[in-house]
Amino acid sequence: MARVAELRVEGLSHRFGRNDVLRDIDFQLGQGEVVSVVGPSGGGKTTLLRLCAGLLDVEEGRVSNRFDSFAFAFQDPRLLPWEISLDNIAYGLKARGMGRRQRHRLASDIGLRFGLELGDLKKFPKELSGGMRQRVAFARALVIEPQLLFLDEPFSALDVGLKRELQRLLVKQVAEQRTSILFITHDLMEAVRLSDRILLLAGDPGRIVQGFGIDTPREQRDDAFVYGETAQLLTHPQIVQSFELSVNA
Amino acid sequence: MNAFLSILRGFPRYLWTGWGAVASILLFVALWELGHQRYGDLVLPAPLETLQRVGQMLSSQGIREDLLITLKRAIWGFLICVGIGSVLGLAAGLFVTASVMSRPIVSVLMGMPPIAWIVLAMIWFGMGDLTVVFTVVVASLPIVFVGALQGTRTLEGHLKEMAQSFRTPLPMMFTDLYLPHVFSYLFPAWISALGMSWKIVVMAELLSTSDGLGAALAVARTQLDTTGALALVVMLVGSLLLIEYLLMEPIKREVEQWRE
Ligand SMILES: Nc1ncnc2c1ncn2[C@@H]1O[C@H](COP(=O)(O)OP(=O)(O)O)[C@@H](O)[C@H]1O
Ligand SMILES: [Mg+2]
Repeated sequence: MARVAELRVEGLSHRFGRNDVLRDIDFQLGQGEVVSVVGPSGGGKTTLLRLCAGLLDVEEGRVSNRFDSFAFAFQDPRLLPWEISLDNIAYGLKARGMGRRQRHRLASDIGLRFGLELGDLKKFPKELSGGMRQRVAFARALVIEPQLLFLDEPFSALDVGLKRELQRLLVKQVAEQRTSILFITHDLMEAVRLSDRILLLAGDPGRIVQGFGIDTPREQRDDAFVYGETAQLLTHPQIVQSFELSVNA
Repeated sequence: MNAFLSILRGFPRYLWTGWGAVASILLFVALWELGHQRYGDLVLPAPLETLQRVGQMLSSQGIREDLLITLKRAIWGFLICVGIGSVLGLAAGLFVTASVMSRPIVSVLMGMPPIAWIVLAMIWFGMGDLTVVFTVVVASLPIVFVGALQGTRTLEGHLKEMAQSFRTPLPMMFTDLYLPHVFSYLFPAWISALGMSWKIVVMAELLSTSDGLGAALAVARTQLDTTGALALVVMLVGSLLLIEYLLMEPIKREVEQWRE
């Protein structure tokens, strides 16, 4: 039987002590697919991602990850403060045992593509702005060319220009390398712009209450499309409910 | 190797920043001179006279040997304490039980006055090198131990999770995560331990040996030779300052560039 690259989550539940965080989550993510999870904050999105990536032990239900490689971009940059940007970007390559010269070349290529300058690559994280740190973290996840990418609100701390720029790079990556992405955001427009499928995770306990598919190819989604689609989603009762909850919380 | 070159290259600029320190030392010397003019030779000899005495001492065979003996004891004690303290602290930091259990022991060690160690060491080891080195080691050990322990226990869970997400192999966990982090706690502890060693070594020598600067200090006391005593103190403090500011501080600057 041929090995199918996919992430399959079945009946996944999780609790921290007495806090019921996730209940009975089911979904699949195939190769080249981008699935985003939207929902109120504190709803268990990060926990779901950590369970899928094996960073947290699964207690109830099943997660089977049949992708060969994955990378995780966290909500905060999590750079090593004692390494310069170049080494931070190259971290995953080093962990795979790649030699110094080659990993530095790849890291500086991608760093420059992500809008860092040569000088920035030699700087320690403390010398970088928040946006640049985020780019470094993003480059570190992408440079290893993972088959599956876990993104935990990677753009939430960025200004609009940079956000759009990194989104564009991501769309390109998906198109060229057939990277699969499981993507968390609380920005509905971002979800509409980037994903094939949007899963709505309601809080307390976190469960998937609705899935929306978007069939228009990513490259053809202009602003008008994104606005229109988002507006349409916002009329949906489940979304109204869940997002109003998050506003009041 | 790169770090070494970089330290050398930064050295002239580093020395240049030392003028402020020189100014404050000169101010101190001026106050000293003032005290001398007020209270006279017996209580506080003139700085110039003291410095001349230092010069004489350094050119005399006997005191030079004493100085070397003292430095050797202090450095041995320091090195042994750094070795044992760092390893034990790291090991204790890796296990929750060990770090919890070691806390009261460290408190006891920290609270124990060095003079008590000297007395015990004299009973156990008699008069000589071993007594001095032992006292230096036990008195500075807790400082290094606590530094290493804190270093291992404070590594952020977030960074560990990041490392885990990239499937970092164990050796790389050490070289890229644990060591740099721990070192930033360990190094300041080493510097404190160095200062401690310098103080303890003289005290231990004064009480328990017949050679070394401490013993020379004891002789100066019996002869009421205030100038001699002060000259010895100047040599001790001077040697510590030289090591600290010409060796340790530049290293610290180089390895801790990444710090806020
Ligand atoms: N390691 C943890 N230990 C205990 N509780 C946690 C832990 N991580 C998250 N939680 C709790 O689980 C809930 C969901 O958190 P999280 O997954 O971070 O939500 P989101 O990412 O959607 O904002 C929150 O109530 C949070 O307090
Ligand atoms: Mg989160």
